[in-house]
Order: sequence, then C-alpha cells, then structure tokens
Amino acid sequence: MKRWPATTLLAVSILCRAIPARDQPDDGAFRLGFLERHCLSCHGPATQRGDFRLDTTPYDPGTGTGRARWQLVLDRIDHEEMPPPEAASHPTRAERDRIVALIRSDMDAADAQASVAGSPLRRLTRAELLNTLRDLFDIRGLRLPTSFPEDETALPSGIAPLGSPPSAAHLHACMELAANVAERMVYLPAQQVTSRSDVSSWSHEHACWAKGGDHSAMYFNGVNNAAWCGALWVRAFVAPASGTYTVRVAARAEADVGADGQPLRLGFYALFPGDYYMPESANRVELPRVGSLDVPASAVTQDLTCSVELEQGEAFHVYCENRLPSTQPQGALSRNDLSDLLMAAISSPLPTVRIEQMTITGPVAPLTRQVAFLGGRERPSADEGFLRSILLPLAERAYRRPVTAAESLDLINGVMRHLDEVGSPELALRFGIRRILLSQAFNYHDTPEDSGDGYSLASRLSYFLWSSMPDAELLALATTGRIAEPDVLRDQVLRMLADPKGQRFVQDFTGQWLGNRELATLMVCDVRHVWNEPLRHGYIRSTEMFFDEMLQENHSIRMFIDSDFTYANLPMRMVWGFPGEYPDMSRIESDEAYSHIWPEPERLDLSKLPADVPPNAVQRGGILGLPGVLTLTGDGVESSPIRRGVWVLENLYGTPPPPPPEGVKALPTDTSGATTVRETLAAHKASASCASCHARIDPLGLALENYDAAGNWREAYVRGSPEQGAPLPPTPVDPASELPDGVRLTGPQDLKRHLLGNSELFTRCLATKLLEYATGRRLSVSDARIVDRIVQDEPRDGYGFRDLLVALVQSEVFRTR
Amino acid sequence: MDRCGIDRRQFLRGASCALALPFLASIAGAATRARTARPASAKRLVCVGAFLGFHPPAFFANGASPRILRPLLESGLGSDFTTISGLDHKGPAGDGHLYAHTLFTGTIGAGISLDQYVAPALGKSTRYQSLQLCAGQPKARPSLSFTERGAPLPTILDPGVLYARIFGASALAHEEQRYLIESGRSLLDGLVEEAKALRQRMDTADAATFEEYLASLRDVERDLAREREWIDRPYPVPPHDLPAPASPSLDGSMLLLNEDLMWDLMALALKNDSTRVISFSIPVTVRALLLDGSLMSEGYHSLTHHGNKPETIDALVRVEQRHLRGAARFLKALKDTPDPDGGTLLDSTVTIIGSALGDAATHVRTNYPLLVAGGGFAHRRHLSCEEASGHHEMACDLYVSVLQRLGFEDDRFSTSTSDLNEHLT
Repeated sequence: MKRWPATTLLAVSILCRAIPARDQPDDGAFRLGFLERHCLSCHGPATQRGDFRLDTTPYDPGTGTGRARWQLVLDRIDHEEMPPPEAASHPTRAERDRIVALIRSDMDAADAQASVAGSPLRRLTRAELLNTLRDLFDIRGLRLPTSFPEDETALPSGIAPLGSPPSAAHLHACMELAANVAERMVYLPAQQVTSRSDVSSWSHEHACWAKGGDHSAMYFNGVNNAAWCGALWVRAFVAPASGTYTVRVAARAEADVGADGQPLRLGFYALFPGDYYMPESANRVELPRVGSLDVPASAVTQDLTCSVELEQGEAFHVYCENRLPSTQPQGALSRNDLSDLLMAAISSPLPTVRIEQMTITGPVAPLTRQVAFLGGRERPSADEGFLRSILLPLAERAYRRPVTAAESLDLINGVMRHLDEVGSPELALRFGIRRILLSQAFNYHDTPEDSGDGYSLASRLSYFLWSSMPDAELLALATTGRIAEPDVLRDQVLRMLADPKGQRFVQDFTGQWLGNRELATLMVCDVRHVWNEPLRHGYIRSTEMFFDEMLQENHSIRMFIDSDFTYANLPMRMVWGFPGEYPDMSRIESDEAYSHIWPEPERLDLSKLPADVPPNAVQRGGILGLPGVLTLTGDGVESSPIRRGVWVLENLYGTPPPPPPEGVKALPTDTSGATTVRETLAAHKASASCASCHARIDPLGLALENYDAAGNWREAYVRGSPEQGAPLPPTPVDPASELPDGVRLTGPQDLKRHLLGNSELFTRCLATKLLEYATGRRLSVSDARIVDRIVQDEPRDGYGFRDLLVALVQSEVFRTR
Repeated sequence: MDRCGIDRRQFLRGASCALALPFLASIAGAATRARTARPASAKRLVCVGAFLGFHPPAFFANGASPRILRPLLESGLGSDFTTISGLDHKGPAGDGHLYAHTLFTGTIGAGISLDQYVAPALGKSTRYQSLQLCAGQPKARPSLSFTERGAPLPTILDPGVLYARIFGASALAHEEQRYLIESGRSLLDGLVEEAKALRQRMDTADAATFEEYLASLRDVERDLAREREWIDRPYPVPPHDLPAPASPSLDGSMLLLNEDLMWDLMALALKNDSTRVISFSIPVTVRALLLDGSLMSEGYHSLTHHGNKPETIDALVRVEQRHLRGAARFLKALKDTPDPDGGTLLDSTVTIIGSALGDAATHVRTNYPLLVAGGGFAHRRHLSCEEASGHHEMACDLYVSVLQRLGFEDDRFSTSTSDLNEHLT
C-alpha cells in the first residue's frame, strides 16, 4: 500500500485521538483506514479536488470552522455522494454508517463539553437598537438612517441574529446615527433659518385654504388629519435642528369665541413631511400638539407670536381647533370621507381665523426636553464635574450595568481632550454621547466587562420580552441580585408581558418563527390569487393577534397545533367567502393606498361558524390554518409541498432535515404542468439519497396541498396560469400520504392529529425556539437535556403558553450567561 | 395630487440640456481629438439593475418588436449597445424575486459585485470611490452592490442627497461635515483601543470576530481619511439651470420621477469626475406609478404579471421604455462629452443595464435581459449566447470581458467559465 506523508498521518492520528476515552479499540484504526482507502487519493497531498484537502484539516468538530468542514465530510459520505461513482472502490453501507456514527458522536461529545454557558457575542438588531434609543432618549420620531443596513443572517433556525462583525458600511451608519442622536440631545445655538408663507405663495387648488371663494387670506377651517393636506405647511418649512421656533402670524379672528366658548385658537401639530407621502400609519397616529395661539377678534390683521417645539426634520400642521363643535374627526377616515368633511367645513358659515402671512424663525432656544437633559440648564458648563454628571449616568443606562473605572476614565478623558480642542462644551457633550453610542457595551448584549450576572440577566430578560433595555425596576433587582430568584423572575415575566412593550416580543418572535418578517416583503405573484396590501396586513396581523391571544390568555400550547379560534380582517373574510355584505375590494385597496387605512383582523370563533361558511374559512385552526404561514412556504406563484414539509419539520416537529445535497437539481415546483405534484415527488423515492429525508418531508407537504400559494383552500389545481399559456382543465387535489411511521394522512386535520399525538416534539421545538431567541445561541447538548426535563414536566393538557415562558426563563439555560 | 411633480418636470427639462462641464470645458480642442483618438481602454463602470425585469419579447434587439429599446434608437445610439440573450445566474428555481440582487455578483452565495470589485482601482482619484443609488424607497432590499463578504452596501434613495454629494451642500453644512469627519476620526481611535483591549479577554472564536471588527474599523478610518482629503477641494459648480431637488417623495409611486433625476445626476457625476463607478437599482414597488403626470391604473408589480393581456403588456412596456428613456438621456450625455484622454465619455464608460429576473411574469431565471453600452466595445446590437455556445452562459462571462476592457488582467470572475471577447471586439 502506498504510504502517505507525515502530515497525513498527523492529521489522521489527531482524528483517532480526538476522544480517546470513549473509543472502541479499533475505532481509530477504522477511521484512519476509511480515510486512506476512500478519501485521500483525491483530497490528500497529491491532488485536492474542489480545493478540499483532508489530510491537513485539523479534526475539530466542536467549533465553528472545523464543525462546518467535518459536517460536510459527514454529509457527503452519508448521502453516498463521496466517494463519487467513478471512484475505484466504494465503502459498504455498513462502513458508511459506522464512520458517520463515529464523527457524529464526536460532535455530540464536543457539544456536551461546550456546557450550558457561552452565549456568543450578540449585536443589537435594528429593532433592538431603535427601541433602546427610544427608551434611552425621549426623542420624538427618532428613526434609523435610511443607510442603516438590514440585519444579517440569523441562526440556521431562523431565530436571533448573531454578532457577526459589522461591515464598514454598518459602522458608517452607526456613526451617522450616533452623531444625529447627539445633535438632537444637545442644543447648540446655530444659524437660524426664516421661512415665510403668504397667500401668494400658496396655490389656490387647495380649497381648504379658501373660504367661500375668498383667496385674499388663508383660512384654517378646522379639519385636522395628517392624511389630508388640509392645513399642512410642509413645503414651506422643515426644522433643520431640534429646538424651539418662533412663529409670527398676521391674522385675525372673525368672532370673539369659537364653538367651545373660548377665543378662536390655532393649534400647531408636528409631523414628519416624509410621512405625509409615505406614512407608516399616518392615520392611526395622533399628531403631537406642539403649540397653540389664541387669535383675538379684530377688524384689522394683528401680528401674533407663539413658540413651537420641533424635532429635527419635522414640519407642522396648523388648524383652528375650536371653530367646529367636534374638532377632530374620529377613527380611520378614507380620503373620500375626509373630503366630505372638509367640504362641509368649508361651506360652514361658522366664523374662523383668517391668516394673511406666517413666518417661522429658529431655532431660537432649546427644547424643554433638552433643558431637562442638562439638569435644568439652558447651556452645558465646560466644567469636568458637570460633564461627568451628565455622561456617566447616561453611560450606565446605555450599558445596562455600572460603568467600570476604566470605561469612565476613557470616556471622560476623551471628552475633556475634545473640549480642549474645540472649546465648546456642547460639542464635547455631543462627543461623549457619540462615544457611548459607538461603544461595544452599548451595541452588544454581553461583553466581558459585564459585572455580575444580575445585570446580564436583567438585560437578557428585557431584550427577550421587550426587545429593548431594562427599565429602572429590572435594574434595581439586578443591583440587589434578587432578579435571579425564581419567584421574582416569574413576577417580572408577567409584568413585562402585560406592559405595552410586550407587543415587541409578539412582533419580533412571530416575525422570526412564523415568518412574518419574510411576509412583509413577499410578493404573491400570480393572477390566480387575490393579493393586495390590506390582505398582506391581515396575514401579518392575524398571525400576531393569534399569538398574542395564546400569550395573554395563557392558552395551552397545544392550541398552536389546533385551535377553535383564529383572526381575520375584512379582506381575508371576503376572500374566504364569508357570507355577508362587503364593500368592493378595490375600494378597500384605494382607502389603503390614499388614506393608509389598514383593516385590522377580528377574532373568529371557529366552533360557532354559521353553516353556510365555505371550507376556505373552516380550515383555519392553529398555526397551520394561518394564511401567512401557508403563504410564506410557497414562492408567491405556486405552493411547494417540499418547502411546506420542511417548514413543518423545522418549526413544529423540531426535526429539520439536512439541506439537500449540493448539485442535486431542484424539482420543479410548478404544479401547473402536465405532471402532478405527486408524480413529481415520487422521483424522490427512486433515489436512496433523496428518499431518506423526503420520506419525512413530502407527506407533510402533501397533506397541506389543499392550501394554495396564497394560503387559500382549494379542492382542485387550477392549472396553467394565463401567463403560461392556455389553461388546462383543473385536476383534483389529492392530499393523501403516508408518514415513515406508517400513519396515513388524508389532509391537514390528520397532520394536526399526528402532531398532537407527538406533542412532546412540538413542546421541545417551541421551547428550543424560544430559548434560542432569548439567548441568541444554538442550544448545546446539555442545554437540550434541561429542555428535556421541561418537556417531561409538561402537564397532561400541555403547558399554558405563559407558564412555559416562565419555566424557560427560570431554567438554567436562560439564566446562564 | 403631487405637488413635487411640477418641480421635477421642470428640473428634467433643464437637466436634459447639455450641461456645462467645469473642468472638461477648459481643455481646448478635446472635442476634435475625440473623433480621432480612441482610449486604450474604458475606465468607468455603471451597473444598472431593474428588480422587476424587462418584458423579454420587447427587450432583445433581435426580437420582432423591441419596443423597450426605442428610446436608444431615437437618441442615435443604435450602434452603441448590444443586447445579450441566453445569460443565466444559475440560481435555484423558486422565488424569482429572491435572486434579483445577484445580477452583478453572478452567484447566489456571498460574493463581491462587479462594481465593488473594480472600485478600488478605478476610483482611486475621485471624490467617491463608488456610488450606490436606488430610485426611491424600495419594497425590499435594493442593493446590487456587495462587499467581498457578501454584505450589501446601502444605497442613496434620494436624488437630493445625491445632488448634495456631487455638488456639495451649503457652506454651513460643509463646516459641520468637516467637524464630523475630524471628530469621527478621534472617536475611531477610541474604538480601536477599546476593541484591542476587549480582544484580550475574548475566547478564540470571539477573537476572530474581533479581528474582522478591527478590519472594518480600519476601512472606516480609510474612508474618513479620504473624505478629509476631499472636503477642502472645491466641489464642481452645479449647472445654473439645475437647482437641488426639493422635498422629495421617495414613495414607490414616484419611482419614475426619482429615476429620471438619478439618471441625469449620474451623467453629471461622471462628467465632473465625482466618481467612476456607480451601481443603480430600479427597485420593486407594488404602488401604481405616476407616469406623465397621471397615476397608472395598476401597480408596477402587478403589471409584470400581465397574464398576456395586450393592454397590460402595453402599460408595462411603457414603464420599461421609461427606464430606457432615462438610460438614453444618460448615454447620449456621455456620447456628447469628450473624454480628456481622448474619445468620448461613452467610449470610456462601460454601462450594463439588465435584470436577473428573466421574465417577471413567470419568475424564470434563465435568459435574462441584459444590455451593454459604450465602453469602446464593437457593438452589434444583439448577441445570442445560446446560439454562440449552445448552452446558457453565466453573465459573468460578459463581466470578464468588461473587466479586461477596464484594464484588469483577470480571466475569471465569480462563476464565469469563459469570456465574450470574441463577440464584443
């Protein structure tokens, strides 16, 4: 036999030595022999096919890179892709199984040694960063710059992003953000801008400005709604910096008092002009009132002045608040509704305020909020003690723990140096804020500097349930260490879930587990499906609201599998064929497009459906009835039984199949062709390397074939969309299939029954997802043992969802850093 | 309904005129030289991708009715471009939209995009090494530019921001900018120290992460040094008839207006040598587009699923013609401008326009629409790769030829297997 050079033997002997204590006497020799016989002639010193060389690869299945390489080796051997068919000799299946088992057990052993601890470095996600900034600073309308990159790839499970190092573009965006926050926090007298608007600068097409055809003045007729351009002053002025601005108005009132018996009054309301064109939810947010002005009745125009507090980038909106008896139209109003209201207001004979000119100048003074940040001062002092008194408490809150002596020294020295250079205490203070916001301690969940587990635990709990920094109560419990007491943890979980911030957990976790994040941008692209933005909104919100009810009502987690309730909004009920009177879908779409009216889902009691409800609305229990979940497992054109099967295995059974071997051609997902899905999938059975996984995947997907690519119920395939040529006659859907354990499935109900029969799999899966989300790490073998205990302790009817959360938070997995 | 629309159209009328060239104009006789000397090779690259594709039957120049290309022909650019059919990114089947960003990386894995690959060399002596642009607010991640690690680069969405980058903002903003750069450099020094100190307490896996973090910090340091170097150099003077775009709407419905502004500003950025490398995304939007002052009756995305209805296809083609009308104005502006090194700017600029979505109607990934313009290539209107080779080529074969045209010696890029030199020279 040919002899391999020393390096080979070294690597292979490492392979043999890896876990000597558990080795059978001949395991090592077997591994050496296997590699020599089957691998090294192509992946050894002489040739390195695919740039892959095994003899110099360290045997290190426990950590990052080594794990990936050896997993590849293992998969290739296991799937009979290596050695390739043209190789001179092939191992027997028994030999393959043995080498695979050996490598796998070494991986498991490495996992076991990795122990419970060791959350990797985890950077705040976009959502966490923004929430934290909003909780840390009270800045109205703070948002991330448009240059801020998307979150990078999450764990393979789709849960929780890792602390992959930021790219240069990411750092630039962080620096931009930090500088912007610092500017908004510390007022610096700057060059003032003046903006003037009068009747001549306004186009008369805006009927709301005129009254009875009088274009010699602007009238504020009393309709306040951000979705309507009624009295916007957007183009004239946008605040260049956060601060107080002076508004001078040349105006007079037509009467002494308005509808409320008070002098006629102008109200000033702040808004982001960008939102006027592209609001996230302009109609649902009440605009903040930032100033008001009583206008006296007079025969001649008066010069009046008032102060308006604006954040950088804000414009404002003015209207006469007390002209009409009811000042603010209630609820979500479409453009058409508003138009009617406005016309009524304009034609109303009631007296109003008449304005000829409006001038805004500023910023002239700091905001109340900015003065409060400086402890009541108008301007910061250049004194080191003062700067410390502002920056160190801020750093402590931003770092979610006490600041170390070294950090404090570093921060204050840097700030004082900067003060020396630029001479401005405002700039020095801003510099300090930027430094804090760029630090590792702010941007990462846990850094080695963290002092004591109490703070770490408080933070972890807070980011788990609030996606943001801990509040004062959590930090106080961290200081005393009481946070680690099981009862305290339970009370805190309940308190935090009851808080409105608990909705962030609902959003973030459903975003990851149930695919809402993907759904937000997924296109349903086929003329066979009804699809529009109100439906997308309904899909996303119905998943969130279903999840929220599970949480708030502490329902048994079995109800995730099947439930007697779900949520649906109006467009969804229309598509499902719910009996009733409905507006035209195009009207709903245009209300959304022009007025940003999003129809919210309502609860549906599935046990009390009227008899004439079609199957599309009946088959909706549990997660597998949620159309959002069913849609994201398609590609927007066709449903894919494979993707659905994989999704179910991964997210409900918790037994994800390995990714398909490389180089295997994907089967066409197009079900509209001549062959049936069933026939296409049958090809998997023909190949041993496909069959091992697809025997588990395909039956689950087939059982859900009654749902189409938009999650709607179908009895038959509509074959051939018009885009693909002439439609073919529809063929019936056949959801029958058989699982590897011999259970026959004839549709979604059977699948749910099978999952309920294996409910411990689902409990483990859900517990694992929640813990991965909460800790940002993949669970180790010993973590998994703790989860096993939690699964064993499950009550007969399943954990209440909130009870499960409490049990997980109290577990060692969560409490260990 | 759109109060910005009027301003934008006025702006466009101004921008479409031939514009003053601050430094090029001073080179006497450049225009005459342009006719005789050809540049040795191109030195600029513009990569444009439409995330909703182009209707293939109306795109390829060998088709019966390539209506989308009409603006190019009408601008006298008939012999300055080649459409190429038969290219493929070989991504998996499935959601076609999901892989539209791979147009210039040629791989569905993590890979560097063509523009970022050439930027360090081509962008050495310009204010910006490269620019990444997108015509307004996208529905999903819009970037066509990726770093070596596959991280997408952020794009400028707002033509007003691009204008300020090219022509500089107010003197006040200039001072603030200088302060931010200088104080930013001091902050970075602190961050490097902090990272080094932390690294010593990390275990090995985390320490590797920190090495990458340090590398990113050094990249930012380098960027700031470059910005610092350029901040005191005067910005080019904007053409007097070109005011800064005011209070933009980035909403999807305004896509075509924003796109038009971007095309015109791109031409100016190349003319005044602010940059030599640009990537430009025409993003996905579900909104109905404002076209010639009125809102179309169907959303842009749903037009692409036209169901072979002739009137819907007509509407889609009108939109796609609009993309090419901007491109034609852009290419014409380059053609009318002499390059100081000889030839025209069009000869020394390779422009690639296309989409990695083969046909948005069916989401197929093969045979995607692509055209290459200028760059001194021997253009022949159309090239069928499937006929030339009998199999679907990767677009990367084209990119190898482009790289060589740009003076690179590479004979491979990403997933290329060959090049298209024999068809383009």
